[in-house]
Amino acid sequence: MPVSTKLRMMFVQLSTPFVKLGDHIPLVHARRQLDQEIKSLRGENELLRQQVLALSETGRENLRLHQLLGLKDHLPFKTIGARVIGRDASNWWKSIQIDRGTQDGLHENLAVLNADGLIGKVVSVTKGEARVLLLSDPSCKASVLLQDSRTPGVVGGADDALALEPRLQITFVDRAAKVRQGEAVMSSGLGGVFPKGILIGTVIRAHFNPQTGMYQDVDIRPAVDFRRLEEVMIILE
Amino acid sequence: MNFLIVTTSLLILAALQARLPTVHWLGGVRIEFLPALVVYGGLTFRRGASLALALGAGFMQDALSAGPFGLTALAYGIAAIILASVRTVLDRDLPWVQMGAGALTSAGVSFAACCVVGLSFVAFIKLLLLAIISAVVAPLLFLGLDAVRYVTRPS
Repeated sequence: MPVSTKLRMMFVQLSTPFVKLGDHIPLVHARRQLDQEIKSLRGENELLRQQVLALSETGRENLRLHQLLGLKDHLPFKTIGARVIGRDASNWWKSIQIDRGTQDGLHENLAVLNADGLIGKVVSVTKGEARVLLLSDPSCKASVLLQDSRTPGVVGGADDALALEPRLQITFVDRAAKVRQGEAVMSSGLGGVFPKGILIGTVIRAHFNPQTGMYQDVDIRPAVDFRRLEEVMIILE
Repeated sequence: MNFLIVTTSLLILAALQARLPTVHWLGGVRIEFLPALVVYGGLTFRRGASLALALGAGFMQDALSAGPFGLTALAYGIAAIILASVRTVLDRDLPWVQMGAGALTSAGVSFAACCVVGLSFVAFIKLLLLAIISAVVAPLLFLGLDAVRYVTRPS
């Protein structure tokens, strides 16, 4: 194992407990509020409101997990669920940190998805956590097919350094291909990382590449909301 | 005590940087705290200590990112050496000095990242935006860490 990988693993293991601490802060708030409610009858109303909020959050989480479970039942692959525990500390790359690692069978270049569609691929793994490079990062590429026209292409994050909403772009699309707005884009299975048939997004518009003029570039609205990822699923086999 | 304060700050700020969501009204960028910490170390401690802090911060940021491991550490390390060299001629307590050093350190790290991801006009605007954010964060961090060091100083 290279020294840089060992060093990275050491720093990740050092920082992960602090990153995970963020999960416990809302619990601290809730306990403080609960203490106040016991002392004062007036606070009972607040407690009930707090409980309703907590139930609503649990309900939403339950719904998301149900969707993931439903997806798991339909997928012909061996999968494992994971929680998102952190995001990229740098502003120049787009990735997330998940709470599964080599001890759960993860290794590099595994596809990651949720109920909405394809999210990205695992790029580094330690014992208990892994980093997933999001499809919205320009350096993450996937081979795709336009569902109706069966036109192939390569999708990656659009190079918008300041884009408020992550956008994807398919490059090297045949100049003669008729691309329809709203057409679904699926993974093609070529390349060996992403299995065939996973939804990636829908076509916003197609335009000719100004540099070559030989191909079309197709802007894609991602099926996944990359800014609100909480639970994901990793395809192990 | 200084070592403990700085190490704890490093871990908390790195975790915050990786956990906080992006700020919509700031163009969707994430607030960076570690450049300001590197500036604090560079303008406060001797060269060896500030370099160690900068490398720690850089490796921590690289470990919590998908970028090439060591890139940020290299940029922070160079910034720390430069800051420690000019420390004697700068008044570290002046907010303008802190802001300028914060902006330059952030710009240096962003430039290093741009060497990998590619420099475009939009990337340059983002670089400027991040430099401004670090310029604002640096005096606040100086204020907070100086206060903690003052409170915990040996009597």
